[in-house]
Amino acid sequence: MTAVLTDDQGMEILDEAECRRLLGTSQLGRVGLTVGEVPAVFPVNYCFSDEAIWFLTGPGVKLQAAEAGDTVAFEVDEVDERARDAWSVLVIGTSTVATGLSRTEHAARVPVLPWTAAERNHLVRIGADFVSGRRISQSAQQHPPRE
Amino acid sequence: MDLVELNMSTEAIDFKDCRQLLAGERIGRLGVVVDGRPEIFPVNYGMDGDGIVFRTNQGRKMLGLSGEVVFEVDRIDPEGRSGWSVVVHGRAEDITHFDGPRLRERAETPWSGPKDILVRISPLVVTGRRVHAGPLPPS
Repeated sequence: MTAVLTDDQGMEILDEAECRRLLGTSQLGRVGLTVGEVPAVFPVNYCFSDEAIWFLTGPGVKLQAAEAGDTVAFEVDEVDERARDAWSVLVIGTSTVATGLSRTEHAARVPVLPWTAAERNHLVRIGADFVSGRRISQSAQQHPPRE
Repeated sequence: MDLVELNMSTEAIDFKDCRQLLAGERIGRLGVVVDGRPEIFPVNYGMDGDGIVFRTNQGRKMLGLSGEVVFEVDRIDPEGRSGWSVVVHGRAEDITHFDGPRLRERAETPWSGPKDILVRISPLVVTGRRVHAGPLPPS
């Protein structure tokens, strides 16, 4: 078994291949944007394909960020409270609007429902340019929880 | 696969219910701006009145805590057809030296071991929305 790398918080550092694998195992993530100087976070249903995050959105700040080609964050995690086991993967990448795709192609790209309402007809792509991840598990835990 | 169309409806959640939903969960996502770029981290949290308290170590999370942060908590069914999301915009402060054991107890014990910095987010704006999916109206 290879050595487990841990960060300054005692969490296992996931390698890039594992991060990308984990991105493909979930359908719900959170998009993080900077609106002015202030961060904003929104849950979205997504699909990980062609080394990118894809989701549908309607008019609003997520679409504006994509139209502007902003750098955004995208986070996916899975937490098992009972087992005290969790992982989190963070993607930092450029957000763009995917244009020129038919509705069928949209459907093929994002085989999941947009989280909210109608008029979510814009397909947004976040390139998974920078990917990092952490895992916490009982086995990897170096310190017991403080009482 | 087909893109299934549903009749989705969104409703705003009032402040009282937002607060109740926040109090009922223990894991949220902290959004911060680091060097002008957004980052998101899951954290174990607790409530202190209307504030969110959590523990951290010095790290990337703290770098973004000089200004406004966003804290998001949600519960969404795996099919993504219904759920809620509550978003707290607020100011994060390092309160490690300003509070005692009372708040430390409320800040959930992080699973990854001791974390010595206690942070409180004082809410400026709290918003929530709930989504339901119903059947499509007959065409």
